[in-house]
Amino acid sequence: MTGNIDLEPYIAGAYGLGVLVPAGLAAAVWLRIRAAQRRLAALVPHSARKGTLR
Amino acid sequence: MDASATVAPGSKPRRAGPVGRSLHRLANPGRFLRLSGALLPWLTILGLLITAVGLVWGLSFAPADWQQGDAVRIMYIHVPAAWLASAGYIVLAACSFASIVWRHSLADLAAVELGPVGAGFTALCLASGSLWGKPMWGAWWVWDARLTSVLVLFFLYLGHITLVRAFDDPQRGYRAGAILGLVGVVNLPIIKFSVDWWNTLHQPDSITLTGAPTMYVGMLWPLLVCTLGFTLVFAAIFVARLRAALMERRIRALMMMRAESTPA
Repeated sequence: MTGNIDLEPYIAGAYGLGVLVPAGLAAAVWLRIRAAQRRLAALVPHSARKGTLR
Repeated sequence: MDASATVAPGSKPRRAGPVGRSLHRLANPGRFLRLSGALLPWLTILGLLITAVGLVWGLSFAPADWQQGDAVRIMYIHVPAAWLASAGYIVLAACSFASIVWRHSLADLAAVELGPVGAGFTALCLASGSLWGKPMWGAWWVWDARLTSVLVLFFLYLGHITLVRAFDDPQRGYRAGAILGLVGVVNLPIIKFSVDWWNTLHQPDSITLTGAPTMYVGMLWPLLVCTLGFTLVFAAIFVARLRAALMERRIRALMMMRAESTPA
């Protein structure tokens, strides 16, 4: 069915996206948490040190 | 505004029944933060490990298909992404329901934070499907019922992301988003049964809840492992986003308190 089509670029593209999309979402939330922790540390040093919001 | 408030600020609390009371206990932001703080590292590590194992298994050790050849390996990305696109929307709709019925502030935030993750995985499903379709069908895209209904799901996610941020009053945005979230549920059975109701280029489901899988077991196992791994990664990203949202809400509350206590 695939004949002489070179499938590697399609497979590599799909796997690349399969890694990049979750990695991008994870990186975005990691940066967001770090920024929030820094701002919380400035506002409430005690809660930021303990890593809690209380 | 208190970060541990369960009921949305500015909204009238409702008397909850037994289900509502247990949901209130589970959805308490303080309790959620304690539980999620312990759970998140495990979710992340397990998700990354299982996904890596599944992807390497699917890419290197699973057999090629007799008809599709190695193109079938795209399935190990496409099917988990498709499952999470629909499952993510089911959770979003459940949060929307909890938001409308019990007015949980955590349910509002959960729906808001689910939108971008669900949209990301739906985009991955569409893109990987396109990369699979080109060598198999000879086209990047066809207006097939399954593809079109998944595209509609993607637009529902984008609409939800936009709508919840479109109002100056966040509560109005949450209400509007919850209504859209519930209305959009009608698309899920269309996605599921599109391959049965219409003649589609997209193949019928190989795995169903009621029947035995129609897939060779050597392909089924890596697919299940990939699906589990991606599901854990999805859950980890979602939980982390929800924690970030609670922190940001706490920051806003603290800043408002400071602004109010500062003499003019």
